[in-house]
Amino acid sequence: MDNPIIMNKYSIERTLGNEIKPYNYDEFVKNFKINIISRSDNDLEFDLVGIDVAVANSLRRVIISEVPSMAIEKVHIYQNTSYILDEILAHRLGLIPLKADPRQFKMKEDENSEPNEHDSLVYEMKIKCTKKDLDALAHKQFISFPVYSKHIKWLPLGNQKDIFTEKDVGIISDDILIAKLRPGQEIELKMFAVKGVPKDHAKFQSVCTAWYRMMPNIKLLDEIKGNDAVLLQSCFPKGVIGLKSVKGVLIAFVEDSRKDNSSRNVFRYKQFDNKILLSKIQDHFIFTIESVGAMDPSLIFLEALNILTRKVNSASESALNQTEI
Amino acid sequence: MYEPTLKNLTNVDYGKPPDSQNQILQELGTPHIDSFNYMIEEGLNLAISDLLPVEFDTKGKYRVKLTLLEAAIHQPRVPTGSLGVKSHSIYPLECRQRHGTYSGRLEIKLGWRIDDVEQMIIDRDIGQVPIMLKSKLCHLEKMSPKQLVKLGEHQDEWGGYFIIKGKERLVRLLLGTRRNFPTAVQRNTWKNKDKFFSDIGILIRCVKDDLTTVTNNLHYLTNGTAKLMIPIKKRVFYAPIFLIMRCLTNSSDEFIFRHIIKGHENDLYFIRSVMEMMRSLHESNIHCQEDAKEYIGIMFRPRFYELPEWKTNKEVCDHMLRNYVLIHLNTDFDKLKLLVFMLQKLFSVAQNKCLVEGADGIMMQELMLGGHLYLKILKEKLQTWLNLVKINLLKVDQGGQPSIGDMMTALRRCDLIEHSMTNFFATGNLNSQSGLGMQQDKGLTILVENISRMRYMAHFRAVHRGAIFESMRTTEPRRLLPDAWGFICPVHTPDGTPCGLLNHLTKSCIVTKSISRKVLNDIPKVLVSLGMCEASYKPQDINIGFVYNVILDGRIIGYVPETLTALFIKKLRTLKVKGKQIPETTEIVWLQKKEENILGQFPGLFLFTGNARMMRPVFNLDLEQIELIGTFEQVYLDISISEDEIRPNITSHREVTKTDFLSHLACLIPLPDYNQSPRNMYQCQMGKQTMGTACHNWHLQSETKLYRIQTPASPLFRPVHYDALSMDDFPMGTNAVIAVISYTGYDMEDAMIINKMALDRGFSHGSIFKTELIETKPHTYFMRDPFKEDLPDSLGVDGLPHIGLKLSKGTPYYSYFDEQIQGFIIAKYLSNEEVIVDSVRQCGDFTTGRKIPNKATITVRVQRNPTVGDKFASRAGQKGIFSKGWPAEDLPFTESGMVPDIVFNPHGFPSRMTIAMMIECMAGKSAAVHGVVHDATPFKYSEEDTAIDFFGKLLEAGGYNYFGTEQMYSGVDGRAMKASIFFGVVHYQRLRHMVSDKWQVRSTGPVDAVTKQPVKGRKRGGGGRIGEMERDALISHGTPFLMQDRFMDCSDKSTALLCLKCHTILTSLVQFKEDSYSSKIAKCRVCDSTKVQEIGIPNVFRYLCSELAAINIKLQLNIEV
Amino acid sequence: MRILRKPSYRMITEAETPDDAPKKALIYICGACQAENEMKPKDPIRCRECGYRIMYKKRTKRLVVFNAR
Repeated sequence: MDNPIIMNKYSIERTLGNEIKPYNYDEFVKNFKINIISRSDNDLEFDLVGIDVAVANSLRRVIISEVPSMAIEKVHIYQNTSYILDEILAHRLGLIPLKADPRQFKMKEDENSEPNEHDSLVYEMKIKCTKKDLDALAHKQFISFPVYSKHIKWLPLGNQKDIFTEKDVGIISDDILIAKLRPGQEIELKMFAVKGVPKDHAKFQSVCTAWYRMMPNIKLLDEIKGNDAVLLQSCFPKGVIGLKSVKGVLIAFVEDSRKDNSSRNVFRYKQFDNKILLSKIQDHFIFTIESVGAMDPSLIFLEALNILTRKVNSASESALNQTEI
Repeated sequence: MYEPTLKNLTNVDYGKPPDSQNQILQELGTPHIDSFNYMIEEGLNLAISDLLPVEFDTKGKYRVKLTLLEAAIHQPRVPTGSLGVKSHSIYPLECRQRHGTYSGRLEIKLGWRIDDVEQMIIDRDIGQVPIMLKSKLCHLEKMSPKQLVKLGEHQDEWGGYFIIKGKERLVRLLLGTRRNFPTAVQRNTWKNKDKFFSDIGILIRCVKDDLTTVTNNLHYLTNGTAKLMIPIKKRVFYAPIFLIMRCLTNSSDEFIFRHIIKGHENDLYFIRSVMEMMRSLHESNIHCQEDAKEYIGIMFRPRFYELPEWKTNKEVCDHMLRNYVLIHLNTDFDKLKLLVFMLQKLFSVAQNKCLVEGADGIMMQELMLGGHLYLKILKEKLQTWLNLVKINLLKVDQGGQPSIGDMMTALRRCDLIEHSMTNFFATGNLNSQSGLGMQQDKGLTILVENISRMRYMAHFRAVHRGAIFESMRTTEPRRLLPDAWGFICPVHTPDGTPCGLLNHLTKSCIVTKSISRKVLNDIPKVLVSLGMCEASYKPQDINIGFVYNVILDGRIIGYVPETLTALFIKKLRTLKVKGKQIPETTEIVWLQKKEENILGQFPGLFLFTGNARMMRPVFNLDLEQIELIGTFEQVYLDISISEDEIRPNITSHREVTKTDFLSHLACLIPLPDYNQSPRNMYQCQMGKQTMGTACHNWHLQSETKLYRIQTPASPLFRPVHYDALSMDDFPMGTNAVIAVISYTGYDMEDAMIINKMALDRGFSHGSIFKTELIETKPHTYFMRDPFKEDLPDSLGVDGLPHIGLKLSKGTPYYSYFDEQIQGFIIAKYLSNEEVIVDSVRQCGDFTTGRKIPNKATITVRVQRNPTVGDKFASRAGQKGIFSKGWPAEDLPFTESGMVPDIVFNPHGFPSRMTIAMMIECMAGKSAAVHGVVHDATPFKYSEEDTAIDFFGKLLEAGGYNYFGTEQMYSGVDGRAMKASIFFGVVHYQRLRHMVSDKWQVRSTGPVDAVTKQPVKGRKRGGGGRIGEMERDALISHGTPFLMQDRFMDCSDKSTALLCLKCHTILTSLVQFKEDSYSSKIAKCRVCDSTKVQEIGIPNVFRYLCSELAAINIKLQLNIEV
Repeated sequence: MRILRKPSYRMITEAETPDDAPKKALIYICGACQAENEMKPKDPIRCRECGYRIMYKKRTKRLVVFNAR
């Protein structure tokens, strides 16, 4: 598909014509590609090439709103004399990301049923600030004792002790600030984590965010040199436009249009009118997944594919059933 | 130039009380405190010595004279004899929590004489009177922030208010006529006073040092005479001016005549009128001072029933002159001179030789301050008390010589002043015989609501023009006049009824306080040394040309020849700026004589040194120093705003900053100079309704209702004044990522959608704290009923709820034992909303025993996270209703994966022209990218150096589009959007109007006892009214069945029995048939007819019939069956 | 909010007047000196340490369940 989107100063223009092509499986298999650009523990960037925007967007939507994860849902507060209010404390605790792999748990069927080893994780926090605790922090000039996520302890349910370690199901990092205590204040509570989907509440998100952008394509239609070339370079993020020196004259060339962020600042200058063509390739998506940390981003992507497949299957099934009637 | 910083977020000392308080915030309380301090230090004893001694004869013909010698108010202290108390001071926090009054003892020394023999002086407490916070009598006065925090107060507590029954009450600043200045006024109502009265008069509001106020008007009569209005005890009297003048001097007529004519020798009409007035006095047989005094004494005697009968007519006249005519002057000659001046001015105005001044301009006004009003009220109460002593002494009088014992009994029977003083502050209603020279007697105090920091602060700078103007149909007093520049903020006034009447002082405006008596007494000497000629007894004979009268606080002290005046004023101003011999707060007003055919104010040189005037600092170009100028003074000065506007030899002063004419709140609007003006007014209102951080001591509070936002943020785009006011200590909004796009149907007409995931993560979460005082009867005590088994779930053994308990409708709330009925009383929680008990306090009192009621306060909190229907606003007067929590995956996203928190509809911009909000959007984005805050001080940018260019370039440097737009993708279908979208960060405020407090729904429910119609009011479960206009709509729409349903069936439908013979519904009854008790029959009780028809009527109709029947009107219903 | 002040009438025989029922104490914290005071019903409301007159009820250990959202 080489009908790119042309970018103008304030709007974009879709090149008309063969925008909707009849679907051809063989052609799709031939053209479709996934290129992994970069990956780390929590981040994944890859290119989806040769696919319709609807599919890319469906994947994005599923990742954001339907891939399940574990999060604290109920908080039993026994004592809380800190300045932070009970309900606020519970809300904060709910937003703490857990390391537990959601695939190893079931969704809780009945909200009010007793928590069991298959659908719940239980944590506990008991902390009391004494004058001594605070004095120990005097060198940091703290006037209150910070309660961190490291003060939360996992309580295994049933046979969970044999399957998991605290490392597998604990809090994602140790230094999430939960509350601050003054001497004499204490917090004692129990937390119950369940599996849920982000549609229900944002705390169940397994990604910080996931999104795509279309691959930019920059073409220089005319030679741009000298000061204009330097100006042109400054209109784009670093590494988009390169400068080469030809006989002592700087000439601009497109180094890597992928790095462009569509700021379109280049259109502000008259001297570049009709000399540059910014466009986006419609079937090339630069996809980024930022995981919260419980699951590897690639696994999140696969999970999303599964969910999407299930949805497609159930949709086609019901469509088939419809025709039978 | 000072720039805003994020230092509060990174400062290691954040959260620790600083060494000194914020000066700007302290100044919020200063005017109030100064006035109160004046009362304690000087005013009170001035007032005491001015009280009229009470003289009377007892039955045994002993002549008793009662005088108050001294009075003093003490600091709030624990009553003597309280056991086991370590600290004997009572601090404000305790009064707030216990719903008590922060008050101190009022102690007086009563002197009394019997037959002119001095008796023993009596010391006595006459009750507790409220004490202003941070005044000289308050324990907090000189405390450091650290000490204040230790006592549970805020580090920047500025005081100025009273604590009455646990509520913070402030005396409203009222604008009133400038004191001791004869103002030329034109009032149409004056014409109707009496025959010959014209609409022109000279009004002078005379104020004594003890703040006693009397207004005298000198009226011009169309027959060429003048009459002086004298108000006595809410009634007014008109006396010919020459009658009063005759009382004031024993000099010859010629002497008076020459005094009056001085400077007006060419005005033949004036001369004729004066002569005519003098002649008419002689015609009434009054020829000398004695005659005049005798005459006035006889006339006024019945009005002064407080004077003993043995006073002569002359003494009555003296009493009248001292207390009701030009009371700010002490000598008769001063009064005469001023009357002469007023007469000259009156005739000058009447002959259209100079202009009418009018009382609506700020230049003719000053303020009425809390402490001053306090003093006036207290003075009157003390006089009443003294009379009360007389009445009680006469009651115990047995005919013998009154003994000290009699006196003590009488004193014991006198009411304390306590109740009436507290009552005044609690209600704001003035209960006075004389009216105290006030124009209103209601709404004098206000509750200092602490909804957000802005609301709280604004209360202290609010000035009201007076309640009577609110009901007036003319808009004249609401107009913003040019002389208000720099004193009254043009932006900060509400819209609606109080618009233009309830104003706010600008941030630089100060209110003068009293200056020391010594300096004041020396001023005439200083003026003489500068070239003033002292006013002599004899009018000047040598002609030195035109002279300006020098009038110091309403007293004519001398004159300056015209030629020397400019130099005289220049020297005077230099001394004023130095501030030693002439106080800094002196107002120098030179009303220059105009050319022949130019009209101006009546000439004179006026100096004002009194308190309660508004002044503001400007830069004096000659002296290169800051000078304070007053409202009247400003009118005659040339002040430039900026350096480049200075015109040589004309401009004398320059503004200190360009924003000096704005109030504190107006200064907190980002770039108000870029907004359409009403938007700034709206923001001033909405800032005050914001849910924010009202206080820091949440756990100590016992305000009835407090709003709190949970995770506030510091705005990224803010004026310097934001930091100057330490607003970061009381943040009140959230930095929201907004996309300006018309994306869904849910953001039409000021609705806005919020990202649901942002809401899940705590966007604008908040709570309300409600405190209830529970006061049980005497002879009860809090305790849980031990025999009820379900009680321990919610109540402790003390009968009060557990802390942290969730309360819902029907949960036991508290329980106590009543000794009189020997049983437990259990109260249930009645509100529909689920709340959590935040704190429970029991409040003790000083008196012991069971006689006093039990007091406990229970604070509960309601979680109020945003729900559909809640109100939000940006800081540019752009408010909107939250219409739907939109799923994050459906919202558009940018190239960098950002999703907006709020989607703002672009149609909100064109008609409202809130450019500042657009700039803020860019500036916020730039600030977030670069990790800084940007300055939003007004007038920082200009046409040459535009804000858009500044922030555009910063955005470009951050890799964003220069115009603040971004390429976005639809969250629904995933395609790139055609237009680029304006996207950035804007500070949003959550307003306190929430649906949870407002929703109202009803199918069936309570009905009115008389009419059987549904009751009104949300609290009672009533319905919304379908009124006349709705009825009109239904009629014109042609929907009679709907009308029938709304007005009859769903309201008060009932059936009635109509007698077809009598045609009335009142007579028929259903009775048992005579022969059987099994079947019934409907029968008319009047005509015995059984032709009775059942009809459906609204119940009120039956009521109407009965009411009419009661006044002998029969309503006949002719129906066709 | 309005509070129902309808007494729950209940005749109490002399044997079971609350004065005879065992009085249990609750802990109250003084608003001025933070001292913990045991207070029984009918006790005067006053800190035993400093004589201050406003006493805060101390939170006891009790279970309250919250949804973390």
